[in-house]
Amino acid sequence: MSEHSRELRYAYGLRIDSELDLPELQQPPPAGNDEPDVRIRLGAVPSEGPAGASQLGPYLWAGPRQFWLHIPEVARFLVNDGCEIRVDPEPGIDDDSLRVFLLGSAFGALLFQRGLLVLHGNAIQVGDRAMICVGHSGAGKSTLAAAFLRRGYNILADDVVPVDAQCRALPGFPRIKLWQDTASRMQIDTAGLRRIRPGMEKFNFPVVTQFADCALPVRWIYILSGENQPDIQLDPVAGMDRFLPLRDNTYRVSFLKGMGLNGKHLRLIGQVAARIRLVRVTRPDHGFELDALVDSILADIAANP
Amino acid sequence: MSPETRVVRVPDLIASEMDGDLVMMSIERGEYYGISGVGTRAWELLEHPVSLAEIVATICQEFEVDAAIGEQDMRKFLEELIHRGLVQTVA
Repeated sequence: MSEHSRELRYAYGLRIDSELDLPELQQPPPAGNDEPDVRIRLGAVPSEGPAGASQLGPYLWAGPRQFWLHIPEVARFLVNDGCEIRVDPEPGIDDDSLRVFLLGSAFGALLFQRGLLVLHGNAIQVGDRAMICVGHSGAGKSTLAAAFLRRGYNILADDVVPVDAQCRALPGFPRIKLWQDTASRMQIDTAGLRRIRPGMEKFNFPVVTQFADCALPVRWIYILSGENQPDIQLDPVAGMDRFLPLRDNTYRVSFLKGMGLNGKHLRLIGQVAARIRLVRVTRPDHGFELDALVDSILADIAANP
Repeated sequence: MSPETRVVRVPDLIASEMDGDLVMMSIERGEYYGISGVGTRAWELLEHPVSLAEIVATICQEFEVDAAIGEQDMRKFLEELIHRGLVQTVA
């Protein structure tokens, strides 16, 4: 299909022209122009990182304008200047696996290159503003997102949440990723869902009507962590103590150093920290009531509008 | 350090206000530092070369601190900043 007849896709406010099908992404709003902001191309990517980049790991190079990533047995990715991602698939790899890393690490690097603060979590619409839940893998972010969806709330983004210089969360695309155990707990049948990669017990759960497709100011950020304690506890975080949790919950924070973005990142965190309520949510490791957790967070939001 | 020793921030620092406190990073070392309370005011003064005595005078006036205690605290604070490589003495 030629570049001109291919439909553009849309995520994070960017018009995307992709040679790899991205069925989970929406189409751009009709009024916009046809010029893509980001081009995704299938083609050769050199077997080493580009000149001027520094090697951050065995399969990872990053420089100020270029980012190079190799996922063995999947693909090599080269991200250029916030406007192009080259994908060089390894023989026999399936498109779902390519999409996982393209929409994850590669897109994360592209959003960094575009000057955004990229948080690892999910963003939920509350009124005309956004609430973001962050936390390390396994902290219960997607379970909580699913619980908010079940309560009728809309989601802006899952996993990768970019926040712009005006402290607005940008909408991603209408799906959340759910592990089988979360789905079972939420009584969501995964039989009709697409696995994010073949053989993985993690599923794409499409969010058809509950997607917030406009940028919203971030007002609250909740940091989820599990601790061996009896009750759900919410502790506001103030002053300089806001820095480390926001840094630690930055998406792929290790990329920043090679990209020369640590200084800019500190400033972005400062801008966001000045405008939000930041709360650490400690919950029991096992057997906590999901509805009680949602209620606690909603009560905190209501008390701190 | 003597009260007349003049000190100033080192150049390669990026600082960001965080809810009233300051978080700084050294670009060269990639390390982060935090300053809170009276220290944030002293840090403002350190933008241009300034002596310990001048800092103490300003702090004691603005925060109604006793001069002897102010000097003791600020000397300790500046020595720590010098030790961390965030501030340098000027000739």
